[in-house]
Amino acid sequence: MGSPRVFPWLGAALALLFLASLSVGPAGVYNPLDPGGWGLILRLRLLRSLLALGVGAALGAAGALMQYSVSNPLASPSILGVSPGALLASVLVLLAWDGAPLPGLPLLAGTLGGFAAYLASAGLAARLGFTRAGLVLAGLAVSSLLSGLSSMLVMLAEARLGMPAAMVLLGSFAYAVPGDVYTALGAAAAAALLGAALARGLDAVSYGDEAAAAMGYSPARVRLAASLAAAALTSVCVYAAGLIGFVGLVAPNAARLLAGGHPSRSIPGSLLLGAATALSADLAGRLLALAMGLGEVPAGLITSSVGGAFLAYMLLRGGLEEG
Amino acid sequence: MPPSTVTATETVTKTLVENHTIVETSTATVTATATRIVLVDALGRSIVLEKPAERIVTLAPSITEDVCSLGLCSRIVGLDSYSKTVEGVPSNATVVGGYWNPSPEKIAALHPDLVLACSGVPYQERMAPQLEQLGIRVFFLRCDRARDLNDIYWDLRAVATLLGRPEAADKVIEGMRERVARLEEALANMTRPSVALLVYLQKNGAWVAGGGTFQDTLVNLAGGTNVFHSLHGWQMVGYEEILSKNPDYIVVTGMSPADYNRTIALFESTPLKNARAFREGHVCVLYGEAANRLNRPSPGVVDAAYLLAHLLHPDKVEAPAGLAESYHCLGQSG
Repeated sequence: MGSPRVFPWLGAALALLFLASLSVGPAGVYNPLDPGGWGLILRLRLLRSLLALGVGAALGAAGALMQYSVSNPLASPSILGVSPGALLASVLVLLAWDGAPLPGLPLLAGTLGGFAAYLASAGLAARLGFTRAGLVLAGLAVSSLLSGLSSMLVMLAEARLGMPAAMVLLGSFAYAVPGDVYTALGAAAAAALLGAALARGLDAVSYGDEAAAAMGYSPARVRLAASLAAAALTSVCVYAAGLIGFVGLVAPNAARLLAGGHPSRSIPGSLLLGAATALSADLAGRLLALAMGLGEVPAGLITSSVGGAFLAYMLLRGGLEEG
Repeated sequence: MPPSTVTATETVTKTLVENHTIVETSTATVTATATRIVLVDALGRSIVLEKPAERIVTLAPSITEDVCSLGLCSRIVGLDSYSKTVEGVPSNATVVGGYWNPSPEKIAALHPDLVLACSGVPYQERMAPQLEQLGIRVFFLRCDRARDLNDIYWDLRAVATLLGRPEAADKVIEGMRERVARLEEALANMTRPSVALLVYLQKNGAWVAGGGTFQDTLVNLAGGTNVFHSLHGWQMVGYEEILSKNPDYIVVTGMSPADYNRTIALFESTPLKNARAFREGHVCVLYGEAANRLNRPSPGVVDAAYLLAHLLHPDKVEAPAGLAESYHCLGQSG
């Protein structure tokens, strides 16, 4: 099993990825350590790398919080429909306020929408006995319902009301502006704090509800806090970069393997691995763009395809019956 | 994150107002003190240029065609991948990515003083604030949201103004208006056959041009009526809907001559074989240049109108020279 000694390695890997991410892009290869190369392009790459870092970290932590709160290794924002739920609620608010809602309102609505989607999926899964397959199927039902609805609303908002095409269904880090970057980095910081605050409670819950109660924790409250935190973090990420799927599935599982199963280690591990996953996906998209002479290849495409393969692996490894 | 969202309701109401006034009010917003240019773009944002733009990036083929029709092609330093084949673009202009996925860093690397973008394209709208942070001006044209010729004239005037050559637009627009007037004259008092315009035919249905698109205007101009006028914008419809509209003509746009065979094969293998237009040999496939003229809101649309008019009223209107090789109708020699 994993050990805490893995953290320096994770940090170093992340730093290397970050440096690589400053060097490579559709416009070519630049040396980020050469002051002569500091210019417009490096500024763009710095912003998008920071955005990927923040969004990835927040999604990684959100995935870990979710998995502990329902004690299921397949729980993650994209599988439980949290991201499309958040998107749907934000678009609804945009439509209701004719494209100009109060600042912060789409974010709030997104958090609530994401949480509602989470409750719907978890509730449905509970009826199915909360197996791995049950959770995935319940999530599939909820997310395809919400994805369809939110896509329709986005189309309506763009075509009928002539609303600016602000909502992008497929997540990408390429079009980062400072506002989004601050939001994402704020989310990452909040994720770190929330993870630290909730780790002991979640650990207690993992021994079963009675044991948790004996240790002085209310299992219901711990679960509620963790899932609300996860929904809020996911919603902020959707707001900042669009739908980036599966980071919240891959990172927590890899983190448990590398850093150990205790929440106080696996949540920060998942945060770092989430950041690394998002950065790698963005980097892969850029390498693809560079190699094939394309414009921008959205990171959301890369995470979806890699994440889908990972999900298949998890299902095969875990079997259908395991809880 | 949504950019500043004051915008597009204004565009909508403006275009609802009758045509001539729009063009006049739009040009009135152009205030030029010395060489400083201030212009409100299609998203309702004010763009300020200290001097006419010399190095520009165009992000849609229609925009590239606008620029080239004004004789200002040589100022293009970067363009989207579809624009590469527009006649006259400098061969050393850099492709900055696709229309759907332009790369901000490729654009920044060119140090342009103006980026001409297409409103309604999500990633282009997302990219604008990013480039503006770096001091690169981005102006959105009506582009694919053009509803009629006046919107295309608006784009031409805006481009010409930003490039410091407003009189060039007058000349192009004057030429377009003259040709349109001649076409209207030739088709006065003609019967108006009904037309279905399938901009993209798929195995299970087609994307059609509905009302509120410039193609709807072109069908009218060509002496026809668009059977899908009541739909809004480009919409996907099934075969049943096409059949039930019972159009006199079906015009399909494709990419290459091979699309003619593909289209006919699709008609034969689907319920579309029962369409009256198919039985009467009134199915036409436009590809290459003809399809470009019909699908790009730039000065070339007038050629598209003439071509459509030729298909609907062959004895009244000649097909424009140069487009004879880029369409094929079922009725013609098999």
